Amino acid sequence: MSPITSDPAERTAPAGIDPRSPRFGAGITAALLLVVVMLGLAGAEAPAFVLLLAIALLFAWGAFAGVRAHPYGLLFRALVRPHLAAPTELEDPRPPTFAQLVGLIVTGVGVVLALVGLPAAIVFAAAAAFIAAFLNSVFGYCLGCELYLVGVRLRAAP
Amino acid sequence: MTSLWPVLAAALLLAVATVLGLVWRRGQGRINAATGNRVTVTAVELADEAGLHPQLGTEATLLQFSTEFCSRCPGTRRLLSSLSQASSDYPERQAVAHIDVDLTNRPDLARRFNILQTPTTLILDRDGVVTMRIGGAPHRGDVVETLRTILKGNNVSYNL
Repeated sequence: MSPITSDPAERTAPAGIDPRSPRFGAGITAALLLVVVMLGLAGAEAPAFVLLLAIALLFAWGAFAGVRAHPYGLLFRALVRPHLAAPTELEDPRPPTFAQLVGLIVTGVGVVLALVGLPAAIVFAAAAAFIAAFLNSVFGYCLGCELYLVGVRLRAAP
Repeated sequence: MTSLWPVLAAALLLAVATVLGLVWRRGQGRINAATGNRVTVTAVELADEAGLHPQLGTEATLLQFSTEFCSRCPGTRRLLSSLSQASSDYPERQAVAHIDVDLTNRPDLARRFNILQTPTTLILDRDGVVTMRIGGAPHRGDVVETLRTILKGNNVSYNL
């Protein structure tokens, strides 16, 4: 692939998705993560762990099967999309898919640390993932996009 | 009280996230004058492996930095290339050129221009000097206004 083109992504981009779909899903995820935080702080460690594990598995679904096949995507198309106008533009599904992987890593670390005897990690992982999911849903901020750029810059380190 | 404090903590977390989001959104698309040392971009340093390089604009250049994992880059690309096309009277050399660089292939440029978010757009003058910097998705009206000012300074006018 040549380093520079006038439209680097469009040459290889897969079919677009409705950009509101991942933001809808991130809203559900953010709400669930906030519940995990509250359960964890209230001392209900087992329910908090189970819910965080479920959220991590849903992230894994999105990361490996693609956001299009994610249950929240199906929910969006079945329940929300029919009530909305057509999207003004479609979005590349790769950034939200990458974001699912980032979410999986953050919540997965919480799950693993809880399993090895650090239950406090549940609240910290859920709080961190909540901020990212909330910013994505409400403001359209894409944490995965910035992390990918960090990776690119690290690769260029002399 | 023991039953209430997890709810308060969650509300605090929500408030922190909201403030973060508002601060982030306020800076998005803002056009800032370039600071620090004068930096000049040449077309040749943007060349690909085959040695082909894009043309800078005769009056100004919109130099966009993107990656494939960037949700707002395609929209920015459409906006900036439409502004570029509005300024071209002859296809081989545009008054306002739009160049989109995929940093995945050019991490050296990410470091050279200190790109901390995508999209980031640099506005170059007719000599390739970086004059403005836009972090995040630009607003059409602001870019048009900035380009009009540059073009006016160069004594040329286009119906942007």
